[in-house]
Amino acid sequence: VIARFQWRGHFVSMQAPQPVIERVAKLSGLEYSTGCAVEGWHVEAEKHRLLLPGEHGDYPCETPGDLLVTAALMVPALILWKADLPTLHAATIVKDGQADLLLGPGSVGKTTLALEAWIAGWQVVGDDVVLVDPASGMIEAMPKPMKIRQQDAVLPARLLDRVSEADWAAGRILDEHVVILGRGLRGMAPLGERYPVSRLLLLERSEDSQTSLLPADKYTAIAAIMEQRLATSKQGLELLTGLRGLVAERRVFRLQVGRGNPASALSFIRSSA
Amino acid sequence: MVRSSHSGVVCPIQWLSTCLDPLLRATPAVSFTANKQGSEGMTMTEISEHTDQMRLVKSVHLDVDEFEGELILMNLESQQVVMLNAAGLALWHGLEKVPTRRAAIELVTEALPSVDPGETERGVDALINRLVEGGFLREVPETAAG
Repeated sequence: VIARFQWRGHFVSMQAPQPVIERVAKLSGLEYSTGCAVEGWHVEAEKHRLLLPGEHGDYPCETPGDLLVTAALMVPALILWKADLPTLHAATIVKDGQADLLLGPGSVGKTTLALEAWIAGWQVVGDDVVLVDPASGMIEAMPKPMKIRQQDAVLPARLLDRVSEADWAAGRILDEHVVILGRGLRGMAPLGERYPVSRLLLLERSEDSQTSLLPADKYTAIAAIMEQRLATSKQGLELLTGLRGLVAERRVFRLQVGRGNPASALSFIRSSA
Repeated sequence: MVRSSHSGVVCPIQWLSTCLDPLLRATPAVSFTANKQGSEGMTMTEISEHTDQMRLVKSVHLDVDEFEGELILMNLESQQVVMLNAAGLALWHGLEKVPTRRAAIELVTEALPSVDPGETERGVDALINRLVEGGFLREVPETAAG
């Protein structure tokens, strides 16, 4: 089947068995249509690899799980790349309609905290990227599943009774074992819904088990925003424009997360809100 | 754009993190690095004369934003970002009227009478070097500047 996945007028087509198409759509939150011709960027699922367009190459997939996980992560990533909107590398959690953005480089603990928040009943906009409206500073979710890095590609035990079979998948992408959680899960923010931002929290790993929340000076705040923006040169300082109010109002903090203690970090976020 | 461990392949997921230089908070009266750039075979006096004949031209590939009395500059080609404090902001605007190193140094020296002029000169020089290196400014011969 050839399906056209689309979001905000940008699309990528994919040729894959119908069940794979359906699972990719459900996990990523992307809408799709079938019966279309191959046009523009095209992804092709083969038995042991996923072929991406042009310079993006191909991804080995030894198992059906690998293929599903890779497709559910890469198809939205290609669309987001094409869309080229002002986006920030941040997990985003919402309580009482107010969003906290958790900024930080890869492997700093964004997904861990987002997952912790989701289990605790917060709404999760995303664990990795968030769309920022430069004019209003409001944020909204992007079509991308939550990606949890694991030692093995199995669902963590504490999630067993929280997710149904259709809402998760496990496999390897590149050299990582991951479990992905779909956007359709209860508690995942729907696409298109906009939220005001309460705070920017710059995630850092603490040297010890202590968690602390400290005000960030404006240089640290601006540097973090610019380092974690996911935009191309077309957008320049647009993203900063959307978030400068938070910097001016000193609503940017450094959250030093104690080692192995994401629950305490979430508790800090909650109590300091 | 970041390349993944998957050899030679650009990974859209990892494309996410764009590398930037640390923000520069250059204070003309503080930062000093010896100006060795372009100095091959020249004495300090010759360098000074050479640079005095050059006009400083702002790149057209910039996005500029003022924030709380400071200036944020982004080079849209290299994606580098620098942030200039109030003195740097005044210098940046001053370059419209005084587009040479010597004139810029004089401008800042006048604006900061309490600071040792030698220190100001070194600071302004270092700042201009940094802006030239980052592609925010170009030094062009006076006659070619138009």
